[in-house]
Amino acid sequence: MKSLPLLFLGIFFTLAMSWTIVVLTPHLQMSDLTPASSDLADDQDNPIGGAVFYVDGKPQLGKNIEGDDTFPVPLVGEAQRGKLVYESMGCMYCHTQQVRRKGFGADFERGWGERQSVPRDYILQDRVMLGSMRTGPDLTNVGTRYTEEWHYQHLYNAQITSRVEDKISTMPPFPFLFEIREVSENFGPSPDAVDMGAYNPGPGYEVVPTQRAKDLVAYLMNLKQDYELPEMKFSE
Amino acid sequence: MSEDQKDKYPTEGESRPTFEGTKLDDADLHKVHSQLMREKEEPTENFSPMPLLLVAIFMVLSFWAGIYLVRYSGNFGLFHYDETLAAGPAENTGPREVDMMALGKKVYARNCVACHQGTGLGLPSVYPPLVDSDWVKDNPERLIKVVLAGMAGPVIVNGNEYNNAMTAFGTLKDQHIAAVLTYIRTEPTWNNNSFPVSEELVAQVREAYGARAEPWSQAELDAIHGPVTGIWEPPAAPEAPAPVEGEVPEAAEEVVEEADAGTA
Amino acid sequence: MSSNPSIVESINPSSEPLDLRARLGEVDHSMRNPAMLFLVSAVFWLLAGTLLAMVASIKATNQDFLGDSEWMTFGRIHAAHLNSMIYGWGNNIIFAVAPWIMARLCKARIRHTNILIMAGIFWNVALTIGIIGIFKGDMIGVEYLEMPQYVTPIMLITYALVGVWVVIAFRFRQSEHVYVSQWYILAAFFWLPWLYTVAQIMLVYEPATGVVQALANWWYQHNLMGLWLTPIALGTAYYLIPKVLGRPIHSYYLSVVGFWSLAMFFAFSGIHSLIGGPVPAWVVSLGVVSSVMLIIPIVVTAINLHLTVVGAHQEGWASPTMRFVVFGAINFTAVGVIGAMFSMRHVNETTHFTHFTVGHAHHALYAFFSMIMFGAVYYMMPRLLEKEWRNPFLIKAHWYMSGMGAILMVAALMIGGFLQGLQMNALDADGVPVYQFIEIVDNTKYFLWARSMAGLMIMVGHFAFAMNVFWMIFSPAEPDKVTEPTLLASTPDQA
Repeated sequence: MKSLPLLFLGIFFTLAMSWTIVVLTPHLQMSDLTPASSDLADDQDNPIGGAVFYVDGKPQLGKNIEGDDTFPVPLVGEAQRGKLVYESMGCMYCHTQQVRRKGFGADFERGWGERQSVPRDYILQDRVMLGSMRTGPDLTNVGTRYTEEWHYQHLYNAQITSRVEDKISTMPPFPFLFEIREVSENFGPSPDAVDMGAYNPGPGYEVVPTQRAKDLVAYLMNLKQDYELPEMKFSE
Repeated sequence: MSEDQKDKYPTEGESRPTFEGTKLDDADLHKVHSQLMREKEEPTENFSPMPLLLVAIFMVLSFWAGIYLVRYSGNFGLFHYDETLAAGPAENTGPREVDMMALGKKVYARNCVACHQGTGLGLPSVYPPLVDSDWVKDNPERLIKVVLAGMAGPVIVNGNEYNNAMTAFGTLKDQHIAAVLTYIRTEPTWNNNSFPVSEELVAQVREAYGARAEPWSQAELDAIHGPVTGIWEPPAAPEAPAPVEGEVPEAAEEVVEEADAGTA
Repeated sequence: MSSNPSIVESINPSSEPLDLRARLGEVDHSMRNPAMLFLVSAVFWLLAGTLLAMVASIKATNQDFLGDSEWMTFGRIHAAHLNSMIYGWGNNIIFAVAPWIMARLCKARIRHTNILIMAGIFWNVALTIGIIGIFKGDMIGVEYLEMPQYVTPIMLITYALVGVWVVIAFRFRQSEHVYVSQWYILAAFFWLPWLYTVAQIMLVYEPATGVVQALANWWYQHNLMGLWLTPIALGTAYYLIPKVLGRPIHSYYLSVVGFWSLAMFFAFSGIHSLIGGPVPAWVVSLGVVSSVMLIIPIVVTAINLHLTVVGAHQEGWASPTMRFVVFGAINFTAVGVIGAMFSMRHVNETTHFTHFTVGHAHHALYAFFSMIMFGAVYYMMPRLLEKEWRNPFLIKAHWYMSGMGAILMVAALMIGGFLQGLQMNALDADGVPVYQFIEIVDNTKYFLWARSMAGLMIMVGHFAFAMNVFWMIFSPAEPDKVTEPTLLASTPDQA
């Protein structure tokens, strides 16, 4: 193989082919996906959403039921800022945000989701962090599992909520997302203050989440795929 | 010798490049010699033919690859996620016979173990136990309310105080709530030895209180159901009365009285 | 011409003409500055990356270690370790070794090495800014592309500069025959800027919609491994093994098949990291198939290199270069076969999302790529600096510590990860998970301790390596005294 032009062509085409098939084609397939109601409307004369569903094994164009809520919904406000905190702390290195189908792994049995995740669930996310490690549990539906207070405690020091006897949680602590300050003499304890159990500061002091912690918890509380879609209903 | 080469290695009158003509002087030459001269030749390739066995293996692999792609690609459809099924998403089958204990155990594992633990013992001072628990042995409607809307504020269970928050699980189906409560109340090793909970009861409570969004406090629940005693009996099952016009049968009156007593 | 009789005698009549040797000498001489700049940078980043790895590994079992510091939080240490190893150690050492090999094989006179030096300075400055950006919190939530946007243009320019230089060196080659290493290096330098640009556009500058980001990300991540690091490492192995042994590569045809099958199949295989994920089944099937088909280039390369080495084991064991390069080449076969096996859906069900994947990544990046690059340094530096390695003990320390550390780490992570996966999926007769999550975390910690131990060994090895490198750099040149290569054992003929 001596010829530079031929070598170049071969090298070019192998990569071009892979990108076209693996990245571009799914992109074209998914470009029509829009938020959908949990079922298809009966009237199919004016289909919207464009993408093809299979009903009884036959492909059909889909239309949302008028008046029904459509899913997914975009993140707004604090939750959107919270996503940036999630990114900046590197949470995606230990937590996934994808539920596998029932029967493939034990995602369903562990309560991580009522159904598997599908591409439509992610179309409104500007940064998709599916994750690749489960050092910690999957977070796709974490918004349905815990209260805000639980999250504040868990972030401050995971041992407060998750340690069982001698089994320690290896989640890093995030005390820098909180502020330890004196309880105000005039106004008493802050309504935002969180009880940190064994990790409470001494008497006269309280732990208050900073705005970043509030944003992050707002984001986590918004993580849910607890709705059904035409192409994926809840598993039994 | 080409023009290029003449440029790089000036020959100074000779017809082939010389050491003298290169940029190296004598001292450098010595250095170049010692390392470069003991270095082996630049690599070359032999032209041994490819073993036929390898070719055979590659054929087999390609064959497998083709079959795999044809079988497991779901017609290259966008909505086909399960490669083991024929084209089309999985359909939910209709209602079927359900083992409430098994279902309850699964629902418990999926939703409750994070706080109440797999053993049902909870965490001391943090999460109350469900094993041998006065709350669990008490009125099921209390438990249904808690599951539907959550709880907040101080709670006393088995004489110990807990002050945490419980998430609402209102999104669970009635059947699943009934199953999980049946499981925790009747599982023999959990020592509650209480009674199962029916789907209808869950539906009733949901209809009456389902709209409530704030978590319950112990005080509110005690106001409706009285203090937690750990003792509760279901109302006697009423015999199907033959409806007589205008007359309320005795049995029905009894049932109404007992039902009232039960919820008091 | 020199009048030293022993040197004249050492000239084998069948060896290449003296002018060719002179050209090689000139190539080495003129590549010295850029290659040493990249090499020294690479060593610094290697040490930094190894240190970060130790911190991360300790934090994995002792989460309170440096727990109060935001800059040192696990997620950021992880990202900093990853980026400093791949872009700091990996890319710098590639920019040192690959242009040198290409220049030697092209036998062209080297011009404009200032371009390479400039590129090297820009590269390392950008990288430093990028890593500090990660610690600061400007990290982007895309694996392998965490460095903030403000350093991307500089890095791209650097790739372009070095890549263009390599292509031009190839274009003006003096050699008739194009050797297999040249294809690999050329291909790698062409693929990388393209991969990097597309990934940056689709993930950072104009993020694609939804899970297409995940597809693009895994296309990029796996191809960074397979179409950048792997071809360079293979090209280096293909150069060094026959060069040190003085034997030809077993088969040209196997080289061709190995090269093209790698190019064809590797590019699709990244999707095996999305098995079970929210993508259509056909994309996943494609990833699975191409990952298994990678057996072809793996087997072909293994046969080719093995049949080149067979019979020369004693000589190979004596040479530090050969020890590292052959270790790396053997692990290329191992990681490829294991990777192909664990891309099958049924096995992946267990190993996905576990430490197994981390073990696989380090198998490829350390036991394969880095070990070959170490071998290349042991060969290249004496020729660039015209000195010999000062201390064979340090070389042995590096060899044993890195070798054993690599094996221990990979074994611990793969076994631990596999067990972790089995426990994650274990259901009892009622279909309820047998192990609570916290129990699995607790059970896995023993393997993570083993990894920390392996990391300690590797750190010792790297310090030995760095010491030797700087010792050679700062030692005075004494060409008259040292005329033998630093060998780790005696050979039948001291070459």
